[in-house]
Amino acid sequence: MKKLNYFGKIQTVYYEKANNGLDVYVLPNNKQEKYTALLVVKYGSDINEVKLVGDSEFKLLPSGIAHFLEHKAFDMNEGNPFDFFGQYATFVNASTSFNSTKYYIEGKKKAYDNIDYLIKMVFSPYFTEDSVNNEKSIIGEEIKMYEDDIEWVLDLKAREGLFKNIFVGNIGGSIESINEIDANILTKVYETFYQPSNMFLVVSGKVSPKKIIDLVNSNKVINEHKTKYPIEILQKKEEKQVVLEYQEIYGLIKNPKLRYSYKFDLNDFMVIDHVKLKWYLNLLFTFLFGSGSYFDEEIITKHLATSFYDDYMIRDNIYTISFFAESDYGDLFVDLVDKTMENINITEEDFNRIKKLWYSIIIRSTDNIVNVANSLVDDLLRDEKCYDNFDYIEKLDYHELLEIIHKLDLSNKSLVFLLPKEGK
Amino acid sequence: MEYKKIELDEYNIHFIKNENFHSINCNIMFTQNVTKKLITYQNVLINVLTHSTKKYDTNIELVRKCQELCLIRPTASTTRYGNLYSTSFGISILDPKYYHESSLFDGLLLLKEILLNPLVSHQSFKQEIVDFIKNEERAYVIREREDPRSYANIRLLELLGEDNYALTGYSDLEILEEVTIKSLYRFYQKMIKESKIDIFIAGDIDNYEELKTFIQNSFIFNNHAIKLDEACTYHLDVDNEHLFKENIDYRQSKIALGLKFTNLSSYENKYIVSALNTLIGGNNDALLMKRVREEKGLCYYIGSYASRLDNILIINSGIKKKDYEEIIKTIREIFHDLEKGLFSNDLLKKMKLELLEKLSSINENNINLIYYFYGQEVLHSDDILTKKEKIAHITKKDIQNIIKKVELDTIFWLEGDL
Repeated sequence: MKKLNYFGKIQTVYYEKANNGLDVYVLPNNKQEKYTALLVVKYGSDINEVKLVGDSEFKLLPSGIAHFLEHKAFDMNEGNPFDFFGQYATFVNASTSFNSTKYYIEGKKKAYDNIDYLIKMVFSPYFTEDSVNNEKSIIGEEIKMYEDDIEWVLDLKAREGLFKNIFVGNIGGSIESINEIDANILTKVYETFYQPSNMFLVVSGKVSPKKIIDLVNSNKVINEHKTKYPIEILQKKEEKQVVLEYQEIYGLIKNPKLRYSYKFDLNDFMVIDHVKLKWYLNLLFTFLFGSGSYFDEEIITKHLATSFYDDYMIRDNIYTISFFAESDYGDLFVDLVDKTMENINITEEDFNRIKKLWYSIIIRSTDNIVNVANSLVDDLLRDEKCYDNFDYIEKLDYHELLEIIHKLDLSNKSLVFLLPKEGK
Repeated sequence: MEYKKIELDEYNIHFIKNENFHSINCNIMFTQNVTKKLITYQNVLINVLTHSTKKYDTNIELVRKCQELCLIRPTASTTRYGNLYSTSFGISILDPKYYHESSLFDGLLLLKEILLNPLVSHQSFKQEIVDFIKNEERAYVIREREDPRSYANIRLLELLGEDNYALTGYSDLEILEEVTIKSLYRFYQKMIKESKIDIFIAGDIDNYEELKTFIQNSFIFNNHAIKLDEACTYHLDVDNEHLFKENIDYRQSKIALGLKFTNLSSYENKYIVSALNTLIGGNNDALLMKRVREEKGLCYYIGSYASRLDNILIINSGIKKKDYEEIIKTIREIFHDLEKGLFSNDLLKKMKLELLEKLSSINENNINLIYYFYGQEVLHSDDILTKKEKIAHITKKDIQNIIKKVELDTIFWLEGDL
């Protein structure tokens, strides 16, 4: 297997493409008793127009189908997979995002048997009309649960204001869309996307890289699913401009809330390495809006919000930073964000202090094998490569950051206010 | 792993040597008897103390000092353990082996600064900071009550804990209004002077004597701890079930069921309560998930949690209004089957294995180790070997017996389903 540094020499990653086409990454840590494994399918809710196996035309899929498949993976012809994992007290779960579906286990016993079974579970599709209908009822309740969550609705509206083709809608679909799903379409979508070459496995913890690649190479079930079909997706490039600059929605709340976002096109910065560019932007926004920032202090002294945080979304060449706040003074909060973005003053000392802090955070994070595995999964999905994070931080240069700051286009913004229904 | 406890007049120092991690953690834990007021005051106090100090008089200064020392911002948290209340302040220091600037002694001095040199004048905290934290706390309580899932649980605990007002752990909005810069300072003094104090240091350490002397010289609380109550709350026999219903303008209904244990032996309280919880609703493979979700497709989530110190078991789920009766019936059937012993030995075996695996998770990080030894120190929990032995010997009969001692006390039904 190929040996690479992931967090400098503190965390090594071993990589090999298995005979069946599955990319396998192993992050050994023999100081821990535990292991975790994530089997990831590069298929999520954003992929909705595709040529299914055997079809010659692109087909628009009912929304929520990736998430539906995730639920159905736990239904096996040979019985309940929990019975197998339960005998070793192995935790098993799955999640669907906009661009992926992850199946994961955590445990301390029989790592190789459990990973082998995880692969078997995901590669043993079993769809019957009865079980699909039963699942519709369960997923329907999940959809209703999210729709009742007012902050989730605010997040949904913020994404609708920002994006046209990515991060769209409800990952689980709607009650109407899941009613269109049946065993036949599940089988076709499964066969299209659940192919080893469209997936990867990340294992971290007390395991031997060689044994992991050996078990993947010899797993009979995955070998029966060797890549057979090319995947053809109708690619929709995300637009540079936000969709809606302003929205107001109402809900059963007492305190008004907002989401305010900036959308950037990474191509505008003229930096070839987008991974490096993302590190610069993350560092800058940590300094501007993180704990102990001037922004933070101003919010506290002027009582501008009772709760606030920021988060980033990145896909291809699109980078967004989004602020959530609960505030009676939403306009003033937005003004302060704008002023902070327009008047950036970061010193070399600030820059180096944050770099140093990042090193220490990353070193500490290696103690948690689950964090390490998830970090690599995120890198692979976002940046499509495995790289040494320390190397990137080391190469960040203060003067290059200043050039990037000059190229920030602060005109492309989207704001959503969530206001109390009774005040409408 | 090596553990060493040093008993001093004012506090105990606990050294936990472990070479498996890249960080050293230090937590100072203050344990007090819980009161309704204390919960609200401590929720405000921890945020005020970690905001700034006399020496670092803005949050910017304090955070920058942490960053210089390669520390993540100091953490502070509160936890209720039955009738006791724990307030913890902690720092995580990068092991000096990996980054030379990091120093355990510098980190301890910063913790001392936070705890013993707060931003106070004339026996009062700073108005602007207290106001901000109070606003944040108020908004947090309101936000939690606006979330239907969380609201159903809060209401159940309020209804269940007639005498034990402290069940939820959230601040009381009326008491929050009464918090002033002076009254908060009095609670701060109370915490420093009257708590049982335990200082834990976990990580790759060996200079015990040097550390002990440093701590003794740095942390002088002038403390005279008051006697702590017994942590466990006991219930008299439960008479009738109570059903409380509210309507909401949401799509999904929520149910929360509160059950009380009565007359448990110490063994049952320590081991069988969590065994029962694991069997019925502690994981994705538990009986509630199997029967209510997987077999009948009646919900997306259903689970349970137990608090042995409160002697309660809580079940909660999000459901369709029309399925209420069916779900309650299924829950009753599960309890009936357990009482009759109608469950497999395989299930019993898996439950024991899961409890044993949870136990071994104490070695996964320094914080887990700290809380394990805190449990022994304050809650008189058994050591890990005893726990393993007791769990290994849990029988079907134990489960059948505890079912006879648990009664459904309250159902809270938040009826939605538009």
